[in-house]
Amino acid sequence: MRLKTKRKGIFPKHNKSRTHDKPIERIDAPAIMVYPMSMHIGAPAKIIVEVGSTVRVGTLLGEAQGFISANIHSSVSGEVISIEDREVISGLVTCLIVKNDGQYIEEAPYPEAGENVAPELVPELIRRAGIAGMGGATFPTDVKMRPPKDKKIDTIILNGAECEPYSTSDFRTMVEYANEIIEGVRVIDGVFNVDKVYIGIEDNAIEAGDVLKEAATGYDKIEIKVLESKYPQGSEKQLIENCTGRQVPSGGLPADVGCVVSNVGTFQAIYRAVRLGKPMVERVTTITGTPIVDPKNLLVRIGTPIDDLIDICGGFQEAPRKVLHGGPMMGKTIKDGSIPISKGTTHITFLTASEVDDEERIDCIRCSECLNVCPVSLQPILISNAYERGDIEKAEQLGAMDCIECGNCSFICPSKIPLLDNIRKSKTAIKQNKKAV
Amino acid sequence: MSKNKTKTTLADYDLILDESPHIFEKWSSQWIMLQVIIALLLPLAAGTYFFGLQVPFITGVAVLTSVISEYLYERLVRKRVTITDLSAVVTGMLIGLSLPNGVTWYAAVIVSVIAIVFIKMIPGGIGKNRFNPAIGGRIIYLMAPWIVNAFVSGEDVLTTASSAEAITGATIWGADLVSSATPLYYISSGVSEIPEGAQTLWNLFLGNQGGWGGSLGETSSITILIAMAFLIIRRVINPKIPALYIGTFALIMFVYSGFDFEYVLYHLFSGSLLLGAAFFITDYSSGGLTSMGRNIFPIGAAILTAAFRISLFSPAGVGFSILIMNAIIPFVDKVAMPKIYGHTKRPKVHSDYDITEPLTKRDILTEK
Repeated sequence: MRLKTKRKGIFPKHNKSRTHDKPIERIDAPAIMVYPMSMHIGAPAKIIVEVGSTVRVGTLLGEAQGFISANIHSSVSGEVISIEDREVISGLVTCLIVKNDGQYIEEAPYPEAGENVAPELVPELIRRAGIAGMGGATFPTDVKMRPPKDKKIDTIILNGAECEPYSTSDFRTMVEYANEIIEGVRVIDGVFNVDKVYIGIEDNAIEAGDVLKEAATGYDKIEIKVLESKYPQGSEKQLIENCTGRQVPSGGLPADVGCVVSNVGTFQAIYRAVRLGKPMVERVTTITGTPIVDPKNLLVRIGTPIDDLIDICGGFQEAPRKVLHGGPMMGKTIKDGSIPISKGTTHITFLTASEVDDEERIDCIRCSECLNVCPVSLQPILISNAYERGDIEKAEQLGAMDCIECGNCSFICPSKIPLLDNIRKSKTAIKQNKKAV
Repeated sequence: MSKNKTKTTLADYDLILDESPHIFEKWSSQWIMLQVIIALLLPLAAGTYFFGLQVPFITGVAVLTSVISEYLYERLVRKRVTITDLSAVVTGMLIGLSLPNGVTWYAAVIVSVIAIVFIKMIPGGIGKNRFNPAIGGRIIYLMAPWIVNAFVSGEDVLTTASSAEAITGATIWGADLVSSATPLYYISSGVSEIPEGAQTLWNLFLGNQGGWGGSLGETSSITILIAMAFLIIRRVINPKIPALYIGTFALIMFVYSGFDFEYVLYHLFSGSLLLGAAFFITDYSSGGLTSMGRNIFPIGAAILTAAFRISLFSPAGVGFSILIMNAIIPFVDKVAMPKIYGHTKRPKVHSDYDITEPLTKRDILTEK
């Protein structure tokens, strides 16, 4: 049964129909691959190869630095031809450029991996494999597997609520890799021995729920939660509340309420790391949008530049005006086609000029719509007003730091006030003030 | 894998960079106002049918005056001209439709100027006016004879206001006294059952009041209900607000009348109650911002309206109760701020903190 959800949201057009039924297509990597040393949240990885080094599929290129960080591996075999700083999704990052020899010679799998891995070794293997959350936030997954000692994890939540318009990569992953995902869950369940496993999906992906249910036959802890298709249903905090009724305290983590939450694709990656001993070198990503002739769900080697995916999807039938890493609600705009598919690339969305709205801002009419759609119950217009009044302290009191930047307020505003922009600026200003003190 | 020279790359296209979100709901403030204007055409048509061409004439005068005064005011104080948002048209229409049968055109002009300049523009324009301009204008219209009488003749009209004369203000506005006496007159001031000689309920519902009057736009209940339904379907107004208002009011009257259903309906279909429910308590600028505020506003207004109708003179009951709630609701909004996810307490700001959009906008980050 579909679960009506309490938390507020919006209902943008899904725009998923063009790729919903297209099976995942595995593609070859191009001649030149790009590996930014930061494809995750946290400290960038430290480069451990040199220009001229020969690499294989799975060769460690960058080593995680510090607690919150992730390893970076080569996804092709070939030669490192350059190390340079480039502007990528996460900003200016040192990138390794590898020339692909087309042989795809693989490194040996991790010897510890297999059917009977000791629970305490699981976080280690996940870290070695460089897994970072594949839903887009790219939080290093091994950190979630090492919660503070006093936090008892009793619930695993699989995030299959793919609420961003246009994206079907999670849906296809669930349909086509259901067994691997469930096996990944068993691995994590082996670590925490939880009471309950929830799989949250939206009701526009109901087939995925059926496939997963079948894959989990006899595994009684699993419950599929079919949520209404509403943005931002896949937001971690909302998903936790919808599945368990618990609220993550302000500034806290899911572990504070006994939950481990990860994207469905991440569980597949965990399966591959722990059972097969393979690092994270590929992911499913959707290349889509009106300008694209033949939008597809692709199994792409991480590091493939976006330019090399356009012709595979038939090229453009209309000129794109905006290219988004991710979807239209939270995606970041891109201009440079050499930016690669990274660990958090759920989809690349192309928008035409007519789909890019640029209406003039007028005065607030106090319609309350931004309050009505805020999933964390902020009052976006009041934070925006406080910022524009120069009152950062009020912006903080009104909860600016609790904003999850989903974009609902800006989406709905009939007066086209850049509410999220102002809240983001408030957050930056608040952080600057904190540092200055 | 295309390795030929015609490889498509992003460099060949003119791309823009900006911040998320990248899609927006296909509506605008102007569209919202347009829906209200469309909805108001129905009561306008009904008014024209029952009262003749004076209705479009008076409404037209009010609309024109409202738009022109907003334009002139904004030119005068060198602000951006905002008449294209259509909100002044809505205010003008509401003023026109709130005025009684037989009103003179200059009364419409004066009321519109006061509503736009003093109630809407001086506090800062759309979204920043605490009081509903159309209601304010209407109240000033109704109060004017009292004020004039009190100052000029020294007569204490409030205590002698039992006659239709005082209610309609015949003396200064030149209105036709007899035709403006509303049916409500018969059931106001403590009457708890429908007296002999009052209009039939059915006539009230349709609007056929046999030349009795009422305000120009509120004569036909059915047209207002249809207009309200239209706004609800268009998602311009939240059905909860009129429902709470009408529901609370009906409940109080039901109990007061000793469970006389017909009496309750008589109250609902007379006077400006339905017009208020559809167009005045649902006003964005002067209504509640938080969900608590939006619940308390109609409930409070309903209690006050009932109190006015039961104990005092009636015609201004709806208007006064809305104005009183207009004044109270900003404080409710500050006390009843929604509890943020992951917090145990509501956010707090000081009661004198100004929550409106600032006129001059700063951008701290770029200032540094």
